[in-house]
Amino acid sequence: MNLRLFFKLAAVPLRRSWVLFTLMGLSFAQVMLALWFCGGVQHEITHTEKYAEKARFVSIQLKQDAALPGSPTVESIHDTLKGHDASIEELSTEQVLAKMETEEPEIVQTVRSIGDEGLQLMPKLLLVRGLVPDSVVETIKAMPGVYRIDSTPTHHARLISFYRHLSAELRVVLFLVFFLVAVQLLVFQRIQQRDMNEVVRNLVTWGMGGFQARIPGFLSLIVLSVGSFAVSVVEWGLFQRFIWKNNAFLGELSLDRTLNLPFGLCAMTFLAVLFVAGVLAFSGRSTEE
Amino acid sequence: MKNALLKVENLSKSYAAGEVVWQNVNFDLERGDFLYILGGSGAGKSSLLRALASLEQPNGGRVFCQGVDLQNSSRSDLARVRKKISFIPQNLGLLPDLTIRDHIEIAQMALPSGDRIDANVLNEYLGMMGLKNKWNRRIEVLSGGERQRVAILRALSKKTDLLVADEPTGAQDFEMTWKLMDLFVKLNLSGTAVLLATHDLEMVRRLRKRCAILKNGTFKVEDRA
Repeated sequence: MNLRLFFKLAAVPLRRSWVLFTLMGLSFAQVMLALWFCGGVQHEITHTEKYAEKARFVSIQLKQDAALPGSPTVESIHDTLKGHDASIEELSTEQVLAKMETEEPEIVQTVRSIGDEGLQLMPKLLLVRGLVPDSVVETIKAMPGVYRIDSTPTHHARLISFYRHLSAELRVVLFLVFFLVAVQLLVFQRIQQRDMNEVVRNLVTWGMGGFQARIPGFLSLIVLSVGSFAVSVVEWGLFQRFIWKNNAFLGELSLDRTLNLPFGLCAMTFLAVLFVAGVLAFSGRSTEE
Repeated sequence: MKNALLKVENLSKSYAAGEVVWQNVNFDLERGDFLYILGGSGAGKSSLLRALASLEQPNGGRVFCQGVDLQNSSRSDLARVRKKISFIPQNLGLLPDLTIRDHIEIAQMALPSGDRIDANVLNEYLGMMGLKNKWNRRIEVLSGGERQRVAILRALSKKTDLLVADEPTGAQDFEMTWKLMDLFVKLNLSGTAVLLATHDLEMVRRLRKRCAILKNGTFKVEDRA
């Protein structure tokens, strides 16, 4: 099999109508890019939805003797939370007062006026944000240095419902864009069919089998698709930061600060392109066959 | 029938409107035969040759090439038969974006190496046809006569049992026409059957071979021109 010649034959329609095919290739790239955007955002939304489902805010009030930084209780809490997707913030009496200052200025003023004894009345807090299972909360509650523990509910029903809606809508968009990708391929094939028929006729006349004669048509679609694929990957790289900024609605809820290229979706797109190109190139018969 | 390279039985072709192109075409062609097909413009020579080269379906009758029924055979059988036929179409069937070299490679691609002509012979043909220094030129930059010679060169680039040529010298000057005819006769003498459509009666008079006349849809084979 003469691959050089097959690729040259595949390029016949592309050379004859290069302006049209360049524009078609670019538009195909944009459609693929849109597909991957949707896939990337879908991944983020799924991730954030799961986070919203399980994340909670835990406030741990320590006893006076356990409140020193590096005390055994604080160390034990750190050890217990190790391996969990959670952040820990230690707040001294002064930091607690500073946080209260705007909302409860009178209480803060009273505590400060009492002096050291007043300060000792104020709680020393550890604030935990993230995925903390009930069993961990119970373990911390049982520690001798812990005075009190408060935890928010783990089911943020409205938030989760919002994310589920968003996720379902994105799935619909993904399906529509996939459909557009297939339509683009069909348009490619229809435009190049006239030129490829000439190529098939030529090959068949000289004794080439029907299957082999269609390989250039298949390669032609693949060359176009791979070109568009490459353009869309470069575009993704260029606009990734910009895209992330516009995904700011995920904000603090997102644990992942980068929007990764959805490789699974890219692979699916490529397989779909191979399949559709194969069906388009090898279906039907020319009069010579 | 066993020895006939090409056997044509009651072949007919008509258009959807009922207009008959040709009908009751009957003849045999053996190895080493030479047959002119004569007819005016629009007589149906090209469609008959395309049907004989298995590139067009007739409406009725049968064509056997090397024993294979061209109307009722599989795609692989047709491909096998086409490897043994060399066809020079009137419209040349060249791809303007490709070079002479590409066209020769296309014609030889499906063939086992034993069925391709030697590189030396190909070189000799290139020189004789004045295409030697244009080997890597695209068809679109060649003149009409050169394009026709490329189509001839492509047909001769394989060892063939049957050469079907549809007005192969129409765009050539006198000298080149006779060089090419000389080549066809040499091939014919070496055993290749030649079917040549033309309306050049001068050529037919000079090279006295068997000829068939296609006129008003009827096909009649004469013994000698």
